[in-house]
Amino acid sequence: MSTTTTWPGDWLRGVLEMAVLRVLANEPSSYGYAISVALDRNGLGTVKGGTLYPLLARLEQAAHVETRWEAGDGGPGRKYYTITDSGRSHLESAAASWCAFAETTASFLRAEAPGIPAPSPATTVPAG
Amino acid sequence: MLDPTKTTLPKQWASEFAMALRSRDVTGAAIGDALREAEAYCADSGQAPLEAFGPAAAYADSLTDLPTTAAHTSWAARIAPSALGLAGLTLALPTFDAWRAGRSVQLPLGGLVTLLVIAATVTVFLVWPRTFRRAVPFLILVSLGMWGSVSATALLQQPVATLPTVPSALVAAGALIGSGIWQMRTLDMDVIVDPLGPTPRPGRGFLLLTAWLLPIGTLVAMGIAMFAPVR
Repeated sequence: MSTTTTWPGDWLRGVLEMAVLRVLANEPSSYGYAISVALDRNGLGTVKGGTLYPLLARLEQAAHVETRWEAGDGGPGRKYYTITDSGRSHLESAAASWCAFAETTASFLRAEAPGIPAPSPATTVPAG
Repeated sequence: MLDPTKTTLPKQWASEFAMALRSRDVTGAAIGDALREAEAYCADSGQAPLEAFGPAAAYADSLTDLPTTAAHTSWAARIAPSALGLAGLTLALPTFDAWRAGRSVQLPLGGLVTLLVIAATVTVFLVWPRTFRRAVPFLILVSLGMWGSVSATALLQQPVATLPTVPSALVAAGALIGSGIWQMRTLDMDVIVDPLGPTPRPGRGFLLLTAWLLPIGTLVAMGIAMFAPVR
């Protein structure tokens, strides 16, 4: 699913690392532009190279991905990224936490006003 | 070895990008990787690097997780061996003239001004290293430094100090030899590596020539001075 929706940058920053790992978990290996296209097709919108590559460098530094270069056939060579076992377990754990957070947030945002608990007296700031 | 200007990226963007990463001590291998990745992304997406990655220096700054050289030495420590060699060169040439003429060493004002110009240029790099990562200001600063040095040497020949010949020769030789040995111990030949090409290995001859450039240059200058009339 390609989308023209532009999500707020703050939202994407929270989820992009997991989304990139998910793309790599679904493929034997992939390269920068193909990852960007996969993110767009899955509804996350266009992620520019300037956002994607610093994240890929961070994942490589954390050993969540391994890399190898392959010479291009009539075009430029490409750096291929492959998710590691450490990357998979990081993805599983982060995705579970994110889904719990997203469900909690969605449930809260859809709640009617009476369902929202009032702040307790202990947390109110005294006047004056 | 990968020349940033020989990729399919626009030369100015690629040069500024490589220079910005180099100024942060990113390894040559990581710079080569980042250049080739940017090149591949632009070729695949059909975008210009400015559109895909933004300004070169800002994009380089965002790559905070790239590996840096293990020997993370300060600019001052890196420049010190060359500064010592330049001081030796500045003293060696008037000492050589004095030895040929059989008189005391007359240190010209131009030599001291040259040292000050070099020190000022280096200080600007030390104080504002990020300001001069763009090619044009960098070239302007280096050109001004060279122009100032050459002009001072040519125009300000009046002596400002008189020194005994033998001690001057010993100090100059010590400074030049010391700078060569120091350079040999600290020389960083971390060239930009093409991830798709062979790993470059600078030859020992090239390393020696680089480390001993100033002492060799001094000997060459003395050889040329032999053909000039004794002053």
